[in-house]
Amino acid sequence: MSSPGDSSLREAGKLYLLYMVAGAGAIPAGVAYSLLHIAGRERWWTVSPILGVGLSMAFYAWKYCERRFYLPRKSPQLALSQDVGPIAGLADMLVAPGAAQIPMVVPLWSSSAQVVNYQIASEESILAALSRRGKDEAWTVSKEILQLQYGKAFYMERLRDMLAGKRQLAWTAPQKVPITQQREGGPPNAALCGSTR
Amino acid sequence: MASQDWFGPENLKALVKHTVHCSAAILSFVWLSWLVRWALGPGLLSTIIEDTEKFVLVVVLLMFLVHVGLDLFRELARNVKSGRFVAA
Repeated sequence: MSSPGDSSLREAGKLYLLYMVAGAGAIPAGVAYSLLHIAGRERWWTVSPILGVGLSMAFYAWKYCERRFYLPRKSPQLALSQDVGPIAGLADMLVAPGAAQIPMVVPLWSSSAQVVNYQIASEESILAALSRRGKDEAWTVSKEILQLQYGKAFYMERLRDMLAGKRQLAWTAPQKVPITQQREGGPPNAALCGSTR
Repeated sequence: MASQDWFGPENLKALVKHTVHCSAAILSFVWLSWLVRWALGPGLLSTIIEDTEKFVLVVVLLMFLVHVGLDLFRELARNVKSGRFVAA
């Protein structure tokens, strides 16, 4: 555990480093100035632009390092929430009665079980979207979501089969009607679930 | 606006902090430049390094002025807004 003395020393070191970084940032402009000086072309209209360039470089170097030193670092998490990426504008489509929602955040080092759960939830959301909207729109949404997740052609084929009613998900009850024909009535298995209750 | 708004303890602390660290950075640059020039010996490269050092020192001084000014004005605005020294 660090003491307040350590903390103040660290802060002092940071400010010293910021001044050093600012000076180092101005070195290229300084070299240009020295070349001008040696060539005997040291005039106010030649030196002032170089000074401006040197100052701006020092300023940006300072800002860059200040951001690195003082801003808190983000925790390494892969944010897969409803307000990220292509899912952002499609949140309303994915909100269907009875449909599983996409988990808010999946940690980068999550277990494989969590990843599978995320995959299941995503595909169920796609099915729910299919039941509420038209085929084309749902296809676009599904493609974007799958591309975001996997980026593999295999899943595209799988989704195409699902749309055509050729493939059934292992974790859902069998469907009588192809998904693309289910335009009404919430999630694709809603009627089936209702009848079994 | 009270005088402490301009020269309160926090402002003086910021001024001292910047002065100390800027001086340390300038001394470091001067020492480094001297060391490299001593290693290289007299010549064109030493002249370039000497001129570069002067330029860098000017830039560091300007940075010092800018950041001290910004810190002082930030502290001044904070003092005036909080009304810390109005009663003083």
